[in-house]
Amino acid sequence: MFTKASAAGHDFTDAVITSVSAILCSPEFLYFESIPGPLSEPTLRQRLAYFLWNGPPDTQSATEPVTASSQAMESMVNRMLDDPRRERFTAAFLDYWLDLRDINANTPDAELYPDYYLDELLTESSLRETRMFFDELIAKDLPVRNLVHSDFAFVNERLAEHYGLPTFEGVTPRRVVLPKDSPRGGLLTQASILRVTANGTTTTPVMRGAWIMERLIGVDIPPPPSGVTAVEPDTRGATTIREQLDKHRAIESCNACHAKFDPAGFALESFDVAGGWRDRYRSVGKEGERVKGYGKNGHAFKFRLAQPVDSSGTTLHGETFDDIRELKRLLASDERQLARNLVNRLIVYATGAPVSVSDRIEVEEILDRSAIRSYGVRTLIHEVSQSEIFRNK
Amino acid sequence: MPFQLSAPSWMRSRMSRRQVLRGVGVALALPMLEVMTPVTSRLAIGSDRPSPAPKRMIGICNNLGLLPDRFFPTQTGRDYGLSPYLQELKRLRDDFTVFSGVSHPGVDGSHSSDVSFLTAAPHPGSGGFRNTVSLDQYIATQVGNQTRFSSLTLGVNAKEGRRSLSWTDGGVLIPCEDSASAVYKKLFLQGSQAELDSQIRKLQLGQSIMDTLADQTRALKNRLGTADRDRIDQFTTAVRDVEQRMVESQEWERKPKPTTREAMPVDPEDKSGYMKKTRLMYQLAKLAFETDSTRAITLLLDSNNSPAINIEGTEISDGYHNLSHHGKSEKKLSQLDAIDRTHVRLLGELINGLKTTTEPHGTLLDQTVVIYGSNFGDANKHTTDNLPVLLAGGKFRHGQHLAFDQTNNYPLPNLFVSVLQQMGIETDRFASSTGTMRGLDVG
Repeated sequence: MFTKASAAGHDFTDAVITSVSAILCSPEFLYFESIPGPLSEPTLRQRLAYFLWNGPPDTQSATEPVTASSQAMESMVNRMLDDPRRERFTAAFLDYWLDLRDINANTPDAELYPDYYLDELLTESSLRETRMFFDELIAKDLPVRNLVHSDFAFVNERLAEHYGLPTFEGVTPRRVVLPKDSPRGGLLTQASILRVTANGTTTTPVMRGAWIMERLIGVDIPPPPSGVTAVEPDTRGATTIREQLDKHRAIESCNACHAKFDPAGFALESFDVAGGWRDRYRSVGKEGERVKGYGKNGHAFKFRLAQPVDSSGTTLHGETFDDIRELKRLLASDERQLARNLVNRLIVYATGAPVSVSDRIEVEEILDRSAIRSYGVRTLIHEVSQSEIFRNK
Repeated sequence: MPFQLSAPSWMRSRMSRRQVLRGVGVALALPMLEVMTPVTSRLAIGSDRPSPAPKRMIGICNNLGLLPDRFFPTQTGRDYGLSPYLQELKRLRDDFTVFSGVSHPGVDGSHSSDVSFLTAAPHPGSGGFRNTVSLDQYIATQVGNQTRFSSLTLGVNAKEGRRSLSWTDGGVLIPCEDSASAVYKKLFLQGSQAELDSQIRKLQLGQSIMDTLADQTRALKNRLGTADRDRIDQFTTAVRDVEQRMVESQEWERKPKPTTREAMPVDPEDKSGYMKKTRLMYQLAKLAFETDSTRAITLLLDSNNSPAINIEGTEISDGYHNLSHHGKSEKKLSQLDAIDRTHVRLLGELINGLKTTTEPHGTLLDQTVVIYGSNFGDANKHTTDNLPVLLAGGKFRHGQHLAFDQTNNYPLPNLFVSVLQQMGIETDRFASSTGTMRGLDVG
């Protein structure tokens, strides 16, 4: 391409740009090619590198055999997980599994949340926290139940303040042990998750609840029926979203689906649009007490604290909870389901194909073997890499 | 200016490989060539028959919509009382029709529904969604070969490479042109002979790239099984599309462009100049139609991607998206009211501008169908039914509020069928339509 361009009288820059454009558009650059069936060694090595490094294999991983034995694969996976390039996996996987790539799709409302408005440090810190948290689960092979509740968290000065933890100086998040009664710990209560499941102005239990149940627990949630009038969010402070959603519980046909996810959402009402704890809803109306303070934009706070938050609920199986702490205990109890969900997600990410009905048997076998290791996250990754699903197309 | 295929924003920012793969359909977004043109119709040149009056269409979508209780009139039929917003158009009341109770079947997906506004492709928010041909591109395939540009895709603050109203048959997004001055250049500025020669050489280089890609793709397809062949089908169609357009471009390159007395517009500095940008785009659209540079235009007003915008006489205190989640706050509602009224007034300027431009066959408005609406019925609730839609021009019998059922909406694609037929394109369906628009007559 370069020669052609130069011969046609184009200058060096144009010729190079032409060649590079051709490369970037070429199907060989854009697509991985593989034939259905067992993958060859080189293709398997490539798949592994794109799984754990989101990039091509290096010289070592391009030549070392992985199909020779399960130990060979295991040591390759360990080497890759311990390599700094693993961070690309964490970032990409979480970006898509937890929608973290959308963290800037909404911004905190300037009037209701002037304390978060323009607070870029909070946004950046939230993102780092979740990534470092997941990295830790991999590094130490911590049990999958930590996704729902953990006794530690990664916080920096800003997040410690945000979460009401003992503060210290510094922007680099560090691992801290959480106080016994802290609601924090696990993905559900991290600022990044709570931000992407709200819209910057209001929270909705339906959206958060459905998201948590689908993404973390792996419950299948059908889309809403057409023709249902949507609830109109009201920030004037007279009603709460819980009251507005009463029909979900009162009407049988609504309750059939909503009972699956509304409860989780109600428990998360204790957190505002950026993950801060709240006992009362903020409003811009005339109800409630004013709060003193100034936002980063220099304006005085105008919002008021109005209705109290009620975060209690009853799960589909009839278990009651008062708040998020109790809900987390309930959700974390079915560890096998949490592991199953994570394995499914990893398979989709690693192979680019959905988990088919015939794959489910092998998934259960993976879970059987991982049970002894308390479904450690690193163990699950190893199991996926060793599976027939991963070795075949 | 070095030749380059359109570089979608995802190529410039740090994107993971997965994101690249995901966007591969967008990767071959049609290049922003100086001339996006089709083969000159052999019928049009050197023909003694007078060409029939050209029909045009412009589709506009404001992706955060308008406050519904101030937009929709309460009365229906011909003598309906104008709603608060429509009062701004009272002098044009016989030139437009307002609809209620309409939406696209199956189009949900909250903010992602704007890409389906002119395609009606269902579930745009779902994983693996693939769009279908948009109304303007369909028109372009039918009559686009009679003008220099088969279509023009415009945007205000449109998220580059990610949001657009124009989609090809293969589901590939056509990027929006955000700069009014760039559109002006495209339409009117010719360039010197040397620049022309250079442009043609670049097109030929582009064709070489396409040849190479086509060879590689053919070789690849031979190695693949059927399931995989389907997977790269979108890619191969896009390659063919681009090849075609490059050939056609070269034919128009040597023809002189039309001239205009209008001066080149100055682009507002940033996204807060949203309304100024909108007005400029409306003016350019009218110029493009007047000079028969194109017959199909789309304009995406990406309100969702806009910050606190400048509105004359009103202080806007928050980003457009945050305002749209008004939560019934009086302060936000009054700002939205000012914004919405500006929208309607600007639309009135467009309609009036077309109406006061005479052509051999009548007014420009007679020959131009204007579709204005939103993918959101109510942005505060994120609902995608009961969409606000307004139709003007095209010799329809206007002056009425056509109201349909608000619980079981009437399919909006039916309007598109009526529009297509009015443009002389023989078709009785478009996407999920069930027929032509009931109650909308030609006059």
